[in-house]
Amino acid sequence: MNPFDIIIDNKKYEFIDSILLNNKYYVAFMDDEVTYIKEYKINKRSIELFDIDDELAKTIWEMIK
Amino acid sequence: MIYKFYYNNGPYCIVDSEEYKNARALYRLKKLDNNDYEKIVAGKNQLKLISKENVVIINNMDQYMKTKDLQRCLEDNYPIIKNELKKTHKTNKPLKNTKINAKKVIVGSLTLSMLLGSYKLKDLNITNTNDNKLKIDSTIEQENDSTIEEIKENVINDIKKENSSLSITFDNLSDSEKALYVQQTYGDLIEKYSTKWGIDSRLITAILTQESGGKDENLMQIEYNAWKNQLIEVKNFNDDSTVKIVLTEDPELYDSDVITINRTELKNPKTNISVGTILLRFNLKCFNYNIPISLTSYNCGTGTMNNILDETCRNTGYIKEELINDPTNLEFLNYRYIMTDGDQNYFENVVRYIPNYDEELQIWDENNELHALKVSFEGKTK
Repeated sequence: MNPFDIIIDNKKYEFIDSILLNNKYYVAFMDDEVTYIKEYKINKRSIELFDIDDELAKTIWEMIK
Repeated sequence: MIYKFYYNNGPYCIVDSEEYKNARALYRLKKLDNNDYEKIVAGKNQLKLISKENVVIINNMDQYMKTKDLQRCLEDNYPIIKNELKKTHKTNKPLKNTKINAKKVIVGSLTLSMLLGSYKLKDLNITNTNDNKLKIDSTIEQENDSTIEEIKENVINDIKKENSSLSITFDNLSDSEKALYVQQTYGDLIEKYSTKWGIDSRLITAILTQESGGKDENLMQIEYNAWKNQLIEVKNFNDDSTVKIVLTEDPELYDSDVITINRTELKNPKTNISVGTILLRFNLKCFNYNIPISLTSYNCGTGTMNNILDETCRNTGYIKEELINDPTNLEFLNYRYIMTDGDQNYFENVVRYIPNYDEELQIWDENNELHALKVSFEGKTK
């Protein structure tokens, strides 16, 4: 595991970037095939990921890439 | 501004966002170029890429003064790296935002740093301070006596432990960041109990932020002794029922339909937020749902609040009912000097944490009648 990895259910993804937009936090990460954009929340014990709609994901990706 | 984050015995890293960006660019460069770069130094007009073998200097850096442009700078100046970066980022590929149903997410230490650091990345200016600042690539080794790999391993091992707990501490946090931290940590509980007891959740978030910032086990700073053995009736807006609660160490003194809460139970965040919301509601009921007066009363108590209103009436000629029935009349704020205990600027201190101040704060009374109030940033009602 490198310092930029995200492991979700034992599968490894590479972290790309995170962004704050309208008081919500989003993270971009990727595996070999797909770039994922998710909303995230940091709790006391874990980081939770939430699905967002595709249009918002595209907007965020434009800002991040 | 510096972010510290702690895992169990931390701190493992004390860094600012610029360092994260820098470390990330460095990491990518190492991975792509096969050249063992040790350090990237962004100077005023130039960028130095330092490896064991040589130092690559890129001049004319005027347009890349900000470190956040570091990666773009590398792309522009290194066609090969740019291609590699493009491959790595897969910018050519269409974005597929597929579903992930995650049971467990583990992040690397620097990713975690980025996630935490992004609290200030985009919206706030980053200022570097020299004290307490540890540089990711080299200084940590000297000061913490451990390498990044060890730090990373420690963080990951801690996350894997079931009993691990992550707490984040912030220095010099802005008001909106504090409120956001509370919102992210306790948002669900606040939403639940503010709906249950008929109060705008933004008001509870703002009070909690002002009272404890989410950093104390007594989140809403409830004065147990002041409320001890005082029976409170409150309406449950979920099912229109009336609930009786009392803070007490002697539950046997009360009927079975009374919910008794002792000092220890108040340490439970759920109970604390719920009871705090009920106590605010009690104050609202006392002062005809006048939000500014009730907020002040939440801090100083109904007795002192009545004294403040009496003092206001003595000096201004208003009748007490006038003040209570008109939430836009904030004359009483000028007469809080008679308070002997509590925060004389409590109202302003709470209101500064209320976002979307153009929207009305909404409170429902027992008859489901809405009491709404617009509050501006300065703590002035509109």
